[in-house]
Amino acid sequence: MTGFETALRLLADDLLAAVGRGDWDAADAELATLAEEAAAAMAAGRTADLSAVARQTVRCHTALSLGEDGNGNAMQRLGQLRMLALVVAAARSRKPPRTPRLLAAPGTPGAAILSALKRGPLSGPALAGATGLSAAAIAAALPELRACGLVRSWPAGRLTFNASTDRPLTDRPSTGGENATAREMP
Amino acid sequence: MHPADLFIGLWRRLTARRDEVRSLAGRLEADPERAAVLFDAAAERLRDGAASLETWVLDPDARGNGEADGGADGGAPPLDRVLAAAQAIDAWFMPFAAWYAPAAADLRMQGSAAPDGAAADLLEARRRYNRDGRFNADPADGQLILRPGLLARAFNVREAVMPSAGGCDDGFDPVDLFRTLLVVPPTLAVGADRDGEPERRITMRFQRLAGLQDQVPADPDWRPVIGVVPLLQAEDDLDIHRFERDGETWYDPLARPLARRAADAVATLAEQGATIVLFPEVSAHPETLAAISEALRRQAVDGSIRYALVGVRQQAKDGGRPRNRALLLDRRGREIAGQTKLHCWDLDSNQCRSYDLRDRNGRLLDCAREDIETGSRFTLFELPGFGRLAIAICEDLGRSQPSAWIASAMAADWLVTPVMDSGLTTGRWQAKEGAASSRTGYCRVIVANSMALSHRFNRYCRANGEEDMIIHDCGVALLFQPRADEAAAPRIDCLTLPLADPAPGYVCSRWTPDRWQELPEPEEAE
Repeated sequence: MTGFETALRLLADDLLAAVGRGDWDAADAELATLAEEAAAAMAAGRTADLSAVARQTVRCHTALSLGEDGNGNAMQRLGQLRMLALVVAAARSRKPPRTPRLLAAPGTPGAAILSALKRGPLSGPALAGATGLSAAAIAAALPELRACGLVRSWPAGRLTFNASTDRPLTDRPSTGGENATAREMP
Repeated sequence: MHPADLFIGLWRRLTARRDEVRSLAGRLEADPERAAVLFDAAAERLRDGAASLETWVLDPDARGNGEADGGADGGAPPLDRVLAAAQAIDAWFMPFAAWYAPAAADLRMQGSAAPDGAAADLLEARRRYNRDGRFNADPADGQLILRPGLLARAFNVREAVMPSAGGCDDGFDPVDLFRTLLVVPPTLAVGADRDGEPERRITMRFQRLAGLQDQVPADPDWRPVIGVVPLLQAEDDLDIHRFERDGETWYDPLARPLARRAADAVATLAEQGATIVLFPEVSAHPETLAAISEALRRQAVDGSIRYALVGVRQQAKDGGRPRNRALLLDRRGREIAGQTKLHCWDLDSNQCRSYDLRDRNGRLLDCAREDIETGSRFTLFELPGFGRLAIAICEDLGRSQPSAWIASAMAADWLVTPVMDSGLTTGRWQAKEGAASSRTGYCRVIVANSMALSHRFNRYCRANGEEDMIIHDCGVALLFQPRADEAAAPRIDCLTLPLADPAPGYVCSRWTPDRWQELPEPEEAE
């Protein structure tokens, strides 16, 4: 457990204790701190810290939900914890792709795929054949390349064809998306 | 009109003209530039809304204008436009199923360059999915859902293998035209309960269970820990009650109460980091189930277990036949869902001999029918923090349906099969069926078994001089990691406990298939 999570766990224990003794001012202060830490971790992309926030938020919610005392004040904090947990879960449900330069670094599957696509659009199975990569490696690399805006894709029958967007291999974060269309197909 | 509702209408047209669609798909696969033009035209219309796209599909000027696939019956829209429109909608939904997202963006980014209606449609789609468990409005059409499960968000293996590898008889399944969307049909034909009985249809359902999550299955680095508690360790732990009715012999397995054993296993597995704990088919007596629930509740706050699946025999309230069920409990021990066994496991003479099933006079039985009321509904569950779960109780794994639908849909993350059988090996039927179910998909398969029947099997072996068949290390769990393509073999972990001394009474494995063996080819299997 990291120092951050240890501190967060202490916060969670104090929050539960405050609810237990009916000290709603203290409970709300702890909730505010938890929410601020969650927002800070989300904004900064601190994924490990956000995981810790998720664990402690859900832990607190579980502990409160087990309580026999269903009084209105406790239920209100239970609802606040639930909403915070939902927001954190939504933030953790997606991840930004790496930068174009990292994805296309020499020796990576991304580099092999982009090299193969210089010769024209290819389906997933054809990419596996052209690069020598396994289907699993192709399947793992394509979604991130698309999200990064380096590859655009479109369906052709049951196959998905892929083309390079010729986006510069910069260190800037992505501008594209999974849903890029075939409009600029070479 | 919402894009989801238009998709349902297009899907209906496509499935009604399956052979023509197969031909069209083949031509488009050979001509991706034409496919791109069609797709872009449809996507452009969709940016103006589903109604605009529908107008484009139904455009009378496009009928009979050289689009060989359309207009064959005079009034039908061109099939290539129908398919392109459906695929454009499929792509429109893709952000809902994507693990990777452009930085500092959310789903509205997709609609940001479009009229405000697109953002409103996305919001409505999200509301419907969270509220109703489907994108479409009318439940009579089935459920339009995201095809990728939670594990498949970062790893879309379907686009890297030839679709025919999925396993339809003629190599074509209209489902494979779509990456993001799947229609769960309202009902499915599953065959007769028994020979001579009428064909049955069961209800199909996708259910998203509400709950909070602190784990992210979509993360490729997520490694859950699977715990299996066989529970029934000795032969006497399971009484296979036999009786005569209507001139036939029936069996009804009754587990004895093992509350302490179950609770201790849950407590220890909670300390060892188990994410889910599985109890085999009909292994939990009602008292045992109560103890499991209470043990889960005790670990709820600081333990690791998020879910438990418990095989039970439930007595019918109206005095009818019992039901063979698997109950899903959450971390607090609350029953949140369940699946009833859909097919009976009737034993033939060989099986009666193997399990030493005799009548009251000590004679081996020729056959014994399972005395259960079969279920009439199959549910694909989506569990927060764990993934999509399909439950196939014992015989349900081996029957053609709904196993074939699960394999074809490729929408499940987990297929869990609680069984009551002699020891599992990498060569028995469960390994074959498990490997088939995990083929070229994402679906991880787990078979969980008890140990009581292995004692009966050993008695048969000893009586027949088949000493080499005697089970010493009893297979209580098989874990299958799906293979990514046909060239590879599934990876498998076979977890055993010594039959003579089953301590500690559970097995536990982190999902690390890189360390598991490849499933041997059938001729090399045990």
